Amino acid sequence: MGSLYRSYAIARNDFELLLRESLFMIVLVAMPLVVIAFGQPAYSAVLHQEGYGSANGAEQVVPGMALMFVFFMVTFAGLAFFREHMWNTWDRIRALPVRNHEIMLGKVVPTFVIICVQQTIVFTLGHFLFGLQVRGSVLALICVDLAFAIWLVTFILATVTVCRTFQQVLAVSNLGAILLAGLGGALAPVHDLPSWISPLSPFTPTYWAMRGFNSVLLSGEGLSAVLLPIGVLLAGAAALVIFVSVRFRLDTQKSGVLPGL
Amino acid sequence: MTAVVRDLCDRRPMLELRDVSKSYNGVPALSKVNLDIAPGEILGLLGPNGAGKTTLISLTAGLLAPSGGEIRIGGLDLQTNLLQARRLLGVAPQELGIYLQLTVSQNLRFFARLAGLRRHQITERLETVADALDLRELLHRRAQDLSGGEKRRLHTAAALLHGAKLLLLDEPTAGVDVDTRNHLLGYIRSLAAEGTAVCYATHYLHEVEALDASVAILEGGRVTNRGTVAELIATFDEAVVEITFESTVPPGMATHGRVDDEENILRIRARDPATALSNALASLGDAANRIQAIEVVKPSLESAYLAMTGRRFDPKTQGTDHHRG
Repeated sequence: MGSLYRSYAIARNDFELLLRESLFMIVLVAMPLVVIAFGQPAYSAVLHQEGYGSANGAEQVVPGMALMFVFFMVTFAGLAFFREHMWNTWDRIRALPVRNHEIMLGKVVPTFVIICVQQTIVFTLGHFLFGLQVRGSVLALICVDLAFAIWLVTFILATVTVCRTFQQVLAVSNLGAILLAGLGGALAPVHDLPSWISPLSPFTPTYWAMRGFNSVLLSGEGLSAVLLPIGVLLAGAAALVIFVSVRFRLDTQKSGVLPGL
Repeated sequence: MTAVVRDLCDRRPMLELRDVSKSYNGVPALSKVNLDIAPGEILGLLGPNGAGKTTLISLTAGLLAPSGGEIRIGGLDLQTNLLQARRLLGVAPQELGIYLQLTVSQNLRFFARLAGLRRHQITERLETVADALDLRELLHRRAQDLSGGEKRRLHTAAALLHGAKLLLLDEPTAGVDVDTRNHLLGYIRSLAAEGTAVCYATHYLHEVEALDASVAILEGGRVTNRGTVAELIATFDEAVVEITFESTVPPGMATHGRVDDEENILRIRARDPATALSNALASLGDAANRIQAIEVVKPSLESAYLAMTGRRFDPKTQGTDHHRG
């Protein structure tokens, strides 16, 4: 109970700090909706060409943009770690009777919750504003999304583990969002990618998430059809957890200029 | 606190450092430091920049691992009982560590929760500490809107919330006004009177005297002197005549005293400073017109510090000890 209480204290503090920043809501929610609005007609044409006659484009562009823009959580979650170092509060927390895993759990929970909330908002507004229809199992859709959220949280931890400066986190976030979205079929269906790029797609988590989403949204399939994508995403997350467990050190000094702080 | 821990705390020094060493990339910052602080004792930790004060505090807080030696807090080995030992510890580091976007109350409640206080305890302790550090009127102000001194008070208050048995305070009065300083010193004295051990790193010698603290002087990563203020003054019961020259100290004058690192100040320790000064001036001859200033430091903690380290304790130059060590 005490352990959860301390993690709760850290998570609550991070939420209080996040709620004072409106930028992340614009990046995570408003920006994908804008891109969806502009891109839907083009995606509709692409899906019609591929034989999905009843598709309106939302089936590709809504999950695609939801995945691409949620990747910017790397920036905001990275900020939650790095600013503690800049504000000298990291060592202050460490000097209190708090276990390492309690700190990590307290930092991870808000990130996971925000990712889930962002995905829920974008998919829900995708349904009401852009006519996104879930032809298959809603449960399967949620499971794929949760698996991707878990993978993303572990990727964020790995990024924080490896990066020494916040500028490095920004580079990973910006480059990663574009690259993984492009390679994984979030920007355009994988079979429409150049032939030299498409073989790389299965090595990206976005590919597996999009494959799961396509199964549910376009092909109308259920949970059994998305087990493989979910399994691959969770396996990737497990590998990252092992990496973080081995490499992450709370006493590593982090630095970097924080934007607007 | 368990009965076992309470019993240990009653009988042992609250802080014990045994042959503690710390190196950074092979460069020693602390070398075989031995230091005890008893319950109720206030220890003034003094030393020039780079002496190892911040390293010592970081090691004691468990933020750094020692390269060698043993640290015990309330009898608990820091390496094997880190979490339990930290329950006895309150730390206010040198650099401000607060959340500027949050209010004073939010900051204090956060650190209180992490220290393990429950809701009803938090409210009670928050009020006590806020009163003690004159923060009550500021509880709902954002930390970023506070003055420098108010921020420092908030920073210090966060270390006092859980009633620690050992307080590590690194320059808690930096940037605060005189009233706040006196208020804070009074509160620290009252905590010590209740049995709290305090390690107080400061750049103000008069604070050490005002706290009636014992003193440890760190130099080059070693504790060179340890004792009460009275003991140290008695050991170095001499005034210091300080003669500052426009350029380097004239040749031959070094036999009268000690030339400082800048090579333009001659310091002469003497029981009879008037005679010592007159002898020095006589030896100077024509070089006397190169004298820029003369100061006599009467027997005090400052003259003792001068005698021990060969340096003036100047807060202006001591106040930038950001170097880890």
